[in-house]
Amino acid sequence: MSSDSNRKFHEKQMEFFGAVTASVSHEINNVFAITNENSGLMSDLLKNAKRDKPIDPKRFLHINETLGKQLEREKHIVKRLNRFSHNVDTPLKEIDLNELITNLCDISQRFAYRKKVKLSLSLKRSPIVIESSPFTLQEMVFACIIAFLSEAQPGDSITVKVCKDSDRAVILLYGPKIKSEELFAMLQPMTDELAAKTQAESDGAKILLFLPRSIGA
Amino acid sequence: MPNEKVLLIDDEKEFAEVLAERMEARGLKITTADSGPKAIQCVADENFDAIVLNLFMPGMDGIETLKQLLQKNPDLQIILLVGRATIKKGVEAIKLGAMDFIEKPAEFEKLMELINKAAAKKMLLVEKNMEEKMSAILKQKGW
Repeated sequence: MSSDSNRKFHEKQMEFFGAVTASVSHEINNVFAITNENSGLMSDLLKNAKRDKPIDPKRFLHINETLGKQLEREKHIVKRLNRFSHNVDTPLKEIDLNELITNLCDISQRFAYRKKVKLSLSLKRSPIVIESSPFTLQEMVFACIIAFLSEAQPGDSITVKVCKDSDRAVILLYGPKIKSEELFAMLQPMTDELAAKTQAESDGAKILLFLPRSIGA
Repeated sequence: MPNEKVLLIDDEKEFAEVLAERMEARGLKITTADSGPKAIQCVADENFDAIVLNLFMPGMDGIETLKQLLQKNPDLQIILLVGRATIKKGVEAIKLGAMDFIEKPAEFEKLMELINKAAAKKMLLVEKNMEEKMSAILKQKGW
């Protein structure tokens, strides 16, 4: 890779990392906002409570339930972010593709939600273990999801499927028709690094990503 | 500010509900909408003294909603709720005609102050419009 394309490759990686962390931080911020208002509501109720008009315990129970729900939501968001961040720990490692793509799809849900698009995932029951670069792999699949989202209309669906053929793992993405040549040109540095192959079917409404069991294989 | 009418637009229903409850306890009359198109419908049906609009929403985002609301009624007093990283967008919203913006999670009392300011501005605009109409009628009739 030339120094110029190397720089562009790293810029793209940073772009991906930035897009994901910005999206997750917005989600966290929404949880803060709900928690903040519920805490304010409790203060309001306490301040306004009078001897002849005590606080209804059911009201506080409801606030407590809301706070509990938000805490659970926060735990899931942070867990996703934590898993995602640890992908850069090792450039190459053994990964369960089901787990990795599930986390990526969870992270991508907010991008789909903003466009009112349904993003669903279909997995094989048994783990699909390959040796690859988790960060670049997620970057590549995310780029495909974003390409589909850019062509999607509210109400459209995108499906990500993980399976395997004889000696390779396969990630299939279905969605609205996209210009697959442009996408594949953009994916080139990633497919090179992952020793992956790409294929488009159904006029760009189906994208296939073939991954070797091991990058060195 | 008793019974000022406020439209609260946010796709996070739990956030909108609890904020509405707190505002209603202070004497405001709150209507909520969870999307841009619903907010536009609310504005077509009713008059509001202030509008609180979340910038990040699915489908029609805050900026597009702001544009369409102001197109319908340029006198609307709109306060945007923005994230820390989107303050730039808040500035863009002011240029487009929003009254002000505040970071989400917002400090409740500050938000109430902004709503108060918006309602006062709206009142001045209504009075000004009324004066202009009266003066046009007087001129027309030659009194």
